[in-house]
Amino acid sequence: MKWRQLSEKIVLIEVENSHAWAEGLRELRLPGIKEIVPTDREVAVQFDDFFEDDFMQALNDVKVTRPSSREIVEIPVCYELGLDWERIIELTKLDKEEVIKVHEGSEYRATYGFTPGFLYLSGLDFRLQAPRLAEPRIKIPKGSVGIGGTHTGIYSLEGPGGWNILGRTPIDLFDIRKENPVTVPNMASVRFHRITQTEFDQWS
Amino acid sequence: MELMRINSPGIISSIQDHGRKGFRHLAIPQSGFLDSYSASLANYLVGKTPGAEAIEIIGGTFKCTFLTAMNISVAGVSTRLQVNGQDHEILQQIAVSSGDELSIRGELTYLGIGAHLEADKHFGSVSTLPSVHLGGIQGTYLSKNQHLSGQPTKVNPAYLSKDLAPRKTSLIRVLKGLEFEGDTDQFEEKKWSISTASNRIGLRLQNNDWYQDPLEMISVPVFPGTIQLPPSNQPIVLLNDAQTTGGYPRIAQVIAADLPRIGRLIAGGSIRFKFVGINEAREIYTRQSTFIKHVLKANR
Repeated sequence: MKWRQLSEKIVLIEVENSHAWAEGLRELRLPGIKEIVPTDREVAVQFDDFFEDDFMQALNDVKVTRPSSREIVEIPVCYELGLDWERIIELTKLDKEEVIKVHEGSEYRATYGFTPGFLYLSGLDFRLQAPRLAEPRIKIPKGSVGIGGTHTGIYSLEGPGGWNILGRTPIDLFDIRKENPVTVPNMASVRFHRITQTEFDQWS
Repeated sequence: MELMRINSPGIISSIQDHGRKGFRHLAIPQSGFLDSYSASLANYLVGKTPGAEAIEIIGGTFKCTFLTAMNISVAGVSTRLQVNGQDHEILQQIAVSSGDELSIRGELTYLGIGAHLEADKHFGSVSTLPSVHLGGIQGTYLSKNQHLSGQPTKVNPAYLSKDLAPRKTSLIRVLKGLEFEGDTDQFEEKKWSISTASNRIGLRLQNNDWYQDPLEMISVPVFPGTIQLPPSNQPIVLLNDAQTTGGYPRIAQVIAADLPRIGRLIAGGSIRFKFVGINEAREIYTRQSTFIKHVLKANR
C-alpha cells in the first residue's frame, strides 16, 4: 500500500481493488473521516482535521469486500430508445441485434463517482467499445444507457454527456431526495435485459 | 412568511451554506460558500453559526426589497451597499423594515439573513447546485421577482471591527502538485490572468508559456483547490462545484488557509503562486483558524 498527501487533510492511497477496499474502509466507520473517494488507481481520504501518519495503522483493519458474494441486479433496457445506433453499428461493425445480444450477454460491475448519478459499468465486451462523441450532448434523457470507450454506463440523471446512447431504462436509479440515493449498490453485479417500447411506456 | 423579493440577482446569486460532506464518492461536489471566511462574518452578525445558510452574490448589482422586519449583514470584497439609497458599511448588523430596499455591488459578497430561510435541502445542505437540481429553491439560482420565505429570528446586537474585512489577494500559497513537472521558481515567477469564463466550477487561468509534457492519466480524485493542467495548458483552479474526479495532471494544491482567497478572485484579475511545504501550510492554517475563533468569541 502506497500513500501520498494531496494536502493538509487529504491523503491518497494506492491499493489493489481500490473500490472494494474503499467500501471496506467505509464500513469501519472510523471517526474523523469526511470523505472516502475511490477511483481505479487511488483512494482519496479526506479528514476533518490534519492527516496524521498513524492513521495508516488503522488501515490494516480494512476488510476487502468480496464482490462475488453480491446478488446480480437486473436492469431492464429498451434498446429502441437508443440515440446513436447508426454510429454504434458503424464503429463496431456489428448489426443492431448482435450489439444488443452482446450487451445483454455480459455481467458488469457497477461503481459511482464519474458524474452525479452515473452508473459506471466495467466488463464491456471489447467488440462493443466505441469512442465517445466528438461533441457531447447538452442534454441526455434520464435513464440513458451508453457506451463510452471501454465502459458502458447509465445516466441516472438528465444532464450533459458524451457517450454513445443505445437504449434507456425506465427504472429510477438515483433519488436526490434520499440520503442514500442509489438504487443499485456500489460494487453490485449488473445485467441488462431488453424490454419493448410498450413495456417501457407502461413501466411503473 | 415572505422575507424578501429579489429585484435583481446580480450576475449570479444563490443560497449557499457549509456545503455537502460525505458524498464525493457519488460525485456530489461540496458546493457551499466560495469564501467561507466572509460568510462566517456575515453569519456571525446575524446570530447564526458560521456555516448557516446565506445568500452568495457573484458580481453585478444585487437588489432586493424586504417584506418584513429583520436583521441583515453584508460581508465581501470590493463591496458597496445601500439601504434605501443611503450608503452603509460592510460588517455591520443592519435592522431593516418591510419596504426597505437593499442594493449591493461587489465581486463576491455574502448577505447574512437574520432568519431561518426556507430552501430545499439535499444531502444535508441547502447549497444550490443547478446541474443536479440540488438545494436552493428547486435547485436554481435566484431570479428577478423571486420571493424568499422564512422566519425572522431574534438577533442580539453584534459588532465586528472593519480590520476583519476580507481582502482580495492575488498571491496564493500552494503545495507542489503530485503531477507537477518543471522548475518551481519559474512557476512562482509567472503572473496569470483570470479569465471571465471563471465560475463556481473553477478559475480558468490564461497562460502564454507554461508547458508540461502531456500526460495520459486515468481519472484520479480532485478537490477544491486542486490546480489541473489540461492539454490546452490553461490551468484550472478547481472551486466548490467542480467534478470530484479528473484525468488531468494535478500541478499544485491551494493550501487550506487560502481556499477562501481563491473564491474571491472569481470576478477576475491576476494570480501568482508561492510554494510552501506541508508543515508550513499546517502552521498557517492553525494560526488562521485560531485567530478567527478568538475574534468571534471575543466579540460575543
